[in-house]
Amino acid sequence: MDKRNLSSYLINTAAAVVIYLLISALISGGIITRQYQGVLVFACVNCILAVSLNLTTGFLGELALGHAGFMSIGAYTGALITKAGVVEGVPGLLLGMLAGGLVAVVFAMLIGIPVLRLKGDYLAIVTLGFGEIIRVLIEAVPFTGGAKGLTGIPRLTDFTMAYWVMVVVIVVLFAFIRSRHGRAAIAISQDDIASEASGINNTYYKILVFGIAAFFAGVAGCLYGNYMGILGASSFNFAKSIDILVIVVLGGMGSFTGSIVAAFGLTILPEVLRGFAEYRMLIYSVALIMMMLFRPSGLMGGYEFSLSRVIRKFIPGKRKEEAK
Amino acid sequence: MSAPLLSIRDLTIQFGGLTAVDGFHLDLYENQLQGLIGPNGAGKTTVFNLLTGVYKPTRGSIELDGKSIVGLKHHKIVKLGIARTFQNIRLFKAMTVLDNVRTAYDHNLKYSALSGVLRLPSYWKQEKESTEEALKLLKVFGLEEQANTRADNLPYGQQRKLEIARALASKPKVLLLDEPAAGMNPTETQELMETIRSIREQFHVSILLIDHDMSLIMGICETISVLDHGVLIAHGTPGEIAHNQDVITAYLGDDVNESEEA
Repeated sequence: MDKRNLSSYLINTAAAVVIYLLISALISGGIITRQYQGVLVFACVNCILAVSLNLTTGFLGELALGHAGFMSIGAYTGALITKAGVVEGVPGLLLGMLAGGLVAVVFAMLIGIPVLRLKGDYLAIVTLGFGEIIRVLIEAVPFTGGAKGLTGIPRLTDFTMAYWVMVVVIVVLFAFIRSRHGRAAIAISQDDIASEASGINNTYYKILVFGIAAFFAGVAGCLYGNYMGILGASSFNFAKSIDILVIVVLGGMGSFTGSIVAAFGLTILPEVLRGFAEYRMLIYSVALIMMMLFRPSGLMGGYEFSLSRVIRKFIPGKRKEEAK
Repeated sequence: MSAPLLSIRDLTIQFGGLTAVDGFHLDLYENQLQGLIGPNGAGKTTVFNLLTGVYKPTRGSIELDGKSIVGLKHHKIVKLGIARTFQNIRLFKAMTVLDNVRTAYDHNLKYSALSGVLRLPSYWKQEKESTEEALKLLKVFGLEEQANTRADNLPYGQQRKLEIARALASKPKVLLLDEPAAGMNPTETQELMETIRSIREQFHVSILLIDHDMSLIMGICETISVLDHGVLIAHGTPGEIAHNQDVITAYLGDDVNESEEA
């Protein structure tokens, strides 16, 4: 590890802490109301979903439309574990997230291994069907509360929990994409024949990436379920998967920072527009169309915002001035 | 001479009723430079696709170092030591020049996904080593200045070079070059000839070369095989091939009147 890496790690950690303290101060000062706290938790959950979907859709280049399915698996697994109350409180929630993620991975392997060998639109269609199958299954089996929904889930998720889990997920995904495995995934999206010819096992890396994305979707689902306290299978329908995909496309395929900005923007914007009541969805859709017209590759394109790069731009400037 | 590094016997592939390659055979020895030529559609690239496992042969054997590689997957064959370039350049366009090469080091790196994410010492060590090796390789091709440029921003000739560099990064024993001089002007071709000669010396690879540029093929290949309609019609030194009646017929036709009409 050289100094440059270390300094950017420190800068980013400091930024995450500062943002957290700022929002916490606003919450305890009563400026962010209880209702808006909820919006922030949803924004964090959507952010986890978007960055994990961006890993498959943006970086690996495989269009997957079943992210809400993995989210619901994580939500129900997590909810059932915390509800059973074997481990109380926050450790129980952490256990729920881990289990929710792992069960989502099991399902991801189940459909990923046969389907990821195919190319192009097949994956989109199969994952789309998979999401719906999961929803119907959840309504059919007895232990999930069926169509009535699952109630009495301990409400363990608060802003602090959602925020820090989100930070960890973002850090892990950034680290992943900048390792040899991430490089292989991007290479596959660029040219899958050339990546095989460079000695990369395409199928293995596709399944690995797909599994990681499903794991974090499961974690996000668990956070969501334990915030809501009640779960209904209908909230994890096809439209939810599309919502996540819209965040990814809007933020920019292959840009985690774009996904983060878009997730917060698209979660908070409809709430802010609530005052306009009937024009709300109109403004929302016009905003989307404008984006597609003027920034077709998304807010950030494939570019990543780097705080340490911005800071570094200022520091050498200072040094030059001192030298003068 | 010792046993051949790459030994191909009776290699045949049929696509439905079409026999694209019929009974092809070739021996490639260590550090040898062989050419593979033939008119358009003769089956040259198909031979490469068979050697790298993209297609499975209908019949025949391919042995690398005395071990059969028939039926193995493409990436496994690369690991065993056959690397290739493509007729139409296939780079990882949106990645940097350096990352293009580092991607091909993948199977030489051993750290797991978990130690990569946790940034354990093995990650730093292996990433550092692979970056250094990749830069060294880029230097051989005169691309070290462009290490952080996006691959698709390189001029055409350098993209060709980068593709060869990437193929060499997987540390092959046999390098298959599919029309490396396509689209190059005579000066660039001359430069490429020097590059191919020097990489054979530096990296100790055997090279099998497809090209339509006769000055390149005749200039650097020790032996040449000629394919026509999937059948091997001649094999020999450049001098023998240039005067082989079958080869001239394959390229120009056998009837004087016919060639005048064309």
